[in-house]
Amino acid sequence: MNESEAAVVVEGVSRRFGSVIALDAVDLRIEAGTVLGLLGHNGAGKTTLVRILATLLPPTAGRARIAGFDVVSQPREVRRRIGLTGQYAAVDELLTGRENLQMVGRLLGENASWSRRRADDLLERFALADAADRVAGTYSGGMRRRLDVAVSLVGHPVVLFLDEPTTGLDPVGRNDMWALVEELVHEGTTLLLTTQYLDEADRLADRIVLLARGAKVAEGTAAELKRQVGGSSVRITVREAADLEPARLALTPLSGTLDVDLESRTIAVPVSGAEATAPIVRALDDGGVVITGLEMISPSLDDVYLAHTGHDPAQEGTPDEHDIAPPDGPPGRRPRRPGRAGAGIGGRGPR
Amino acid sequence: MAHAEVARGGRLLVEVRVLTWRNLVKIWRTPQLLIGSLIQPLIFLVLFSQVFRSLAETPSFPQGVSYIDYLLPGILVTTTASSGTQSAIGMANDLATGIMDRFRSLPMHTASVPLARSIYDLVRGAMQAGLMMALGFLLFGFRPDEGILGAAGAILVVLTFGFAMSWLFIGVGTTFRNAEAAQTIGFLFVFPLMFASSAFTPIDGLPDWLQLIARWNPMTHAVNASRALALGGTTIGIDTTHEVLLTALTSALLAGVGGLLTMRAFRKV
Repeated sequence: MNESEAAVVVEGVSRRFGSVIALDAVDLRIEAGTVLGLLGHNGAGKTTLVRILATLLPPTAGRARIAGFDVVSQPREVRRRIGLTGQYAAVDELLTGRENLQMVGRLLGENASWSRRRADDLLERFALADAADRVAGTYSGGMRRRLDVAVSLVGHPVVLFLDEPTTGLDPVGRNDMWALVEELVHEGTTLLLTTQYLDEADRLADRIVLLARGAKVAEGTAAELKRQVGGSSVRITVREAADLEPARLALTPLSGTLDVDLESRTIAVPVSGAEATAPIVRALDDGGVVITGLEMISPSLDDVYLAHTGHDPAQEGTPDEHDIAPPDGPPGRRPRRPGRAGAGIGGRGPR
Repeated sequence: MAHAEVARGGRLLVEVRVLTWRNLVKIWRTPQLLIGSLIQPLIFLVLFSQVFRSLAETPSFPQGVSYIDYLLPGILVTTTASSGTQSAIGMANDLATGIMDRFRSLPMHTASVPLARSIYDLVRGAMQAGLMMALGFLLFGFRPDEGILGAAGAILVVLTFGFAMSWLFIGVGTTFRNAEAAQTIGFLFVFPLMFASSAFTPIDGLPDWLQLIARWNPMTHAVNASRALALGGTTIGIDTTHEVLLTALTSALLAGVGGLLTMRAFRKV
């Protein structure tokens, strides 16, 4: 195994199903001990890529290596090093939580006592000890998902694939899962996380790859992706429209590209960070302008998504994973969506 | 966490044992599975032994044989064969629920899963056949001429044929990947073939077209072989060796077809 190689290397991987191109020449790398968030809506090709990397599906073109081993020519070596948690919790519902874990231990080639100990450890750690001897079919959605992740960790995988780990979970289950993932990351597990949720990728991933229609459309850290659609800004609100002009005069020395919106009585000032708030307040105070509101606005990943895929993920339907073509919108860029606060506010922040 | 070591990977025998256990645990946990699979043969046994009792007096029926002795091997073969549909459903479910993906992402042998399934079927088939035969003996007056050894031989034939059917259905289940479809296909083929065979009546009494199907029906020969071993070939006018060999051959063929279907389906995913 080549020590200098990244934990996961994907080079020009494509996959066709008949005439449908599910994945189109995707390249990516995941450095050991980092989390890559694979972001995209249903049908973007996330699961197809995970299945290829987990040796369940051969690519029609390109190469992929896990810890230096080729997923097509060395599947067994790859399987010794990966853990897979599918979109649909793949545990045996008629076995207990403990039995599910022990079974996988044995299937990994470990002996019975090792498997028993490992099962106990994981049950404890995933807060499943009380339910250990109940049949998994009686578990709640969150418990089942935790068991699924636990099962995928039995063999101490070098790389873990989490395919939409929070889809279908209630907010509590989702928070539990996030805490769990953060813990795994803390321990140094290399992780490929697929998600439809932008906030999830933002919170958990070191780097994000945005997938749309099987192709990689953007890549970077959450901060980098956000920068691509414009930086942060501070938006102040004044009491009445007549106050806008003095406010604009007071702020002009701070920035040449103020965005004044008459209707909502707001001015947006592009800033590099939160530390720029104080000078703004001071300038307004010096100018004798009374403000009624001040907020820091950062572009969300929704904006990134929209800028790159040309449609709004929040309004996306949920087509079947195999339904590759998105339901609406021409490809390419569209002007980005105004903030969630409402359509009346107009463009915020400079380009 | 120790990342230095990587998973060893399984050994075929351990994997098959563990996965067979996985299936057997379910019988223990949901006893209605086993009870359910006993209901149909019991109904057949009760109904047919009463309704068709007079068949024993018809000219095409072997002389001096009681209908229950004639019937039981037929019921054992058809029951075990139709239980094979359970394998199709089981495999289709494993594929649908994603647990097969789990297994396939582990460093284990792909063949372990269907192998374990077929061994489980064998164990369940043995339990079924043993219970049916015991009930037949205790309650219905089943008294095969060839005694215990003959009965054991009959069960052996039943299990061989059942094992083949199990593989055939494992192939069907993995190919169609849908429990309902697998069940329908199983029902469409097995159910009619049950009756177009020598399981319940001598085929000489059947209409010509049905006789033709029955003669080519592998179930007929499995029933003949099983029956000949239990009752004695000369008693019922059957060449025991011929039927046993023929059944062994068809079983190998059916299991082979199932195995190929399974391999092909696994490679395609």
